Amino acid sequence: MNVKKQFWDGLITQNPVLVQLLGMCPTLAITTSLFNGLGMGLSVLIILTCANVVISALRKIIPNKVRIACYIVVIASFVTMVDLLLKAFVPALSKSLGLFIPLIVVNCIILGRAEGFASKNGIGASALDGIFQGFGNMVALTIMCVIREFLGAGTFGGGLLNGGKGIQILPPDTVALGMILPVGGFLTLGVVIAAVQYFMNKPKKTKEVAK
Amino acid sequence: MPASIASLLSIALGAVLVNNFVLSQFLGICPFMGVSKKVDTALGMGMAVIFVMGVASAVNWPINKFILERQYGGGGTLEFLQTVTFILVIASLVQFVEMFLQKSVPSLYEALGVYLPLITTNCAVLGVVLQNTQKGYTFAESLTYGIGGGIGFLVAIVLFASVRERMEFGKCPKSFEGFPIALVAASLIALAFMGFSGLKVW
Amino acid sequence: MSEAKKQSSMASLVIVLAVICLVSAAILGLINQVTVGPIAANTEKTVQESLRTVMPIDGDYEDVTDQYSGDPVTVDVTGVSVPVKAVYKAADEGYVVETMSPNGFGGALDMMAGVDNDGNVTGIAIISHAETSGLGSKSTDPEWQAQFKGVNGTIGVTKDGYQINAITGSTITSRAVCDGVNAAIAVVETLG
Repeated sequence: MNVKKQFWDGLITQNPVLVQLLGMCPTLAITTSLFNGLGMGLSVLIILTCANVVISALRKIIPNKVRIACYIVVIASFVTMVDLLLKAFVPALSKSLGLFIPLIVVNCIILGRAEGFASKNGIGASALDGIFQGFGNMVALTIMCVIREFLGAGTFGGGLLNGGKGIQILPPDTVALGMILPVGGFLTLGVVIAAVQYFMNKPKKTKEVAK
Repeated sequence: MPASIASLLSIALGAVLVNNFVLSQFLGICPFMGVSKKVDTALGMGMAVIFVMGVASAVNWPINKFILERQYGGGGTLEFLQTVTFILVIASLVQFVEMFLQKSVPSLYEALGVYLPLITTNCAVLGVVLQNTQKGYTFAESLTYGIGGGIGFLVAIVLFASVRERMEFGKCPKSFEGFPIALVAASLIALAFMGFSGLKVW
Repeated sequence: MSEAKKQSSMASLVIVLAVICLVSAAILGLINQVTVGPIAANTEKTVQESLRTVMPIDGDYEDVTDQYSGDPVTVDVTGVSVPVKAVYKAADEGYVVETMSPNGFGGALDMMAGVDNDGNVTGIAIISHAETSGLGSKSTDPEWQAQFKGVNGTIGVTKDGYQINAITGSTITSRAVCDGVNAAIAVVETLG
């Protein structure tokens, strides 16, 4: 269990959203305010970690043929738990994220990690994997939120700071409304992934030059 | 509220154009990006999704109405089991579709490959079922919305595939190769679809 | 021998899946019990808060929904049929009507409008909506909602020739809000 490697994998080299290209739907849909991004990121992190731990604990008992069905039941249960708890204790987030909370069930990241990691590794490593991948996801979501919110509404910290309105940085008349809409979602993610791909390719270039 | 043909058509039109599942609601992005490199595969995937979305809506409606939303002895309902139940039904449905395609249309089965079982994790399928319950649709309305949503998915993915096929011949900056440039193309299609907002024929 | 093995593995498939399902259902049932109370309280709190914003009075609001016929209201301006969810009596000042205005951009708008005894609107509140963040969601902005205070007669957006300035880029949401307000005025008229 290599903690350091798992951390960097989760954050950068195997970032679930920006490198593995998983979990696109919520990344595009809810990243319109910082509140949404952090709330969703945290929810996914908790569900991913819990699901990873349970699946890892049960990995020797679950028969191969029904493993996907079992994973789905475990993941769906944790999602429902988080959904109910949010509705009861953080209703603002529940309303803001809406349909996308129950949709965490089909977030490819969670099923992907269950199948690819938790079913093959011990509980400790699986828990860490959940935390680090979840953290990487949260970072990706936050980057998207900050960019889209800034260009689309001119604010920072929407839903959290300044009594929920966010700190107005750009005057309301100068913003590009489209950034908050689907157009902006696709565009921002495309540019962010391009930037990531650019930086991932860079070190190889310098190595080649050095030779 | 009785559902007239006009209201059903309006629901369908909404699902296909005005509130397109992929381009407005951001549901079904993973297969949208993954199976849109060739128009024929996109078409096949679209048809499969229409089928799954329609049947999932149809099968989950009575389960929800008569089992989950019923008032039980203690005064509560089983609504909290909606997510788990729906996704299990969808997973089973996709298994059946897989087995059916393997036997009847093996070429499509091969072409779709790993993306066929991934219809289970297609947010559009679970999304439409959840929306049917949220909006309190009748059986007819749920079925219409499910099939309409599937058609919307088909329209989006086929359009996108035809754009991507043409993009193969273009040059783009190295960092944008692959996913990023596809996302930029998708953003333009999404922009175009915004033109449908407010469309009311019926 | 292999027959027996096949049987046992078939059984184990079903048993494991069944056990996992049952345990999950039980745990979820428990959590549901714990959260049912707070969730209901949250909904009630939103309703009460909205009532106070729309038409503040000293006492309690009386639910008089059964006094209304229950029919949806067809609004003249847009021709939309608006279902009426609830009617509250605000002491002697007037009524607050909760409607589900169907033509929001993302679906129905659960909203309230207060109408006093002279037929003037005292205020509005959006209880829940599925509008676009940053656009239609601005309908919950008190500054935009303030426009509705004191209006009467037929309510509509300036684009259609009436008095309400629509939210920039959200004419649809704005029209839907006006539908809800018009429906509320119509309901109060029938109640006298």
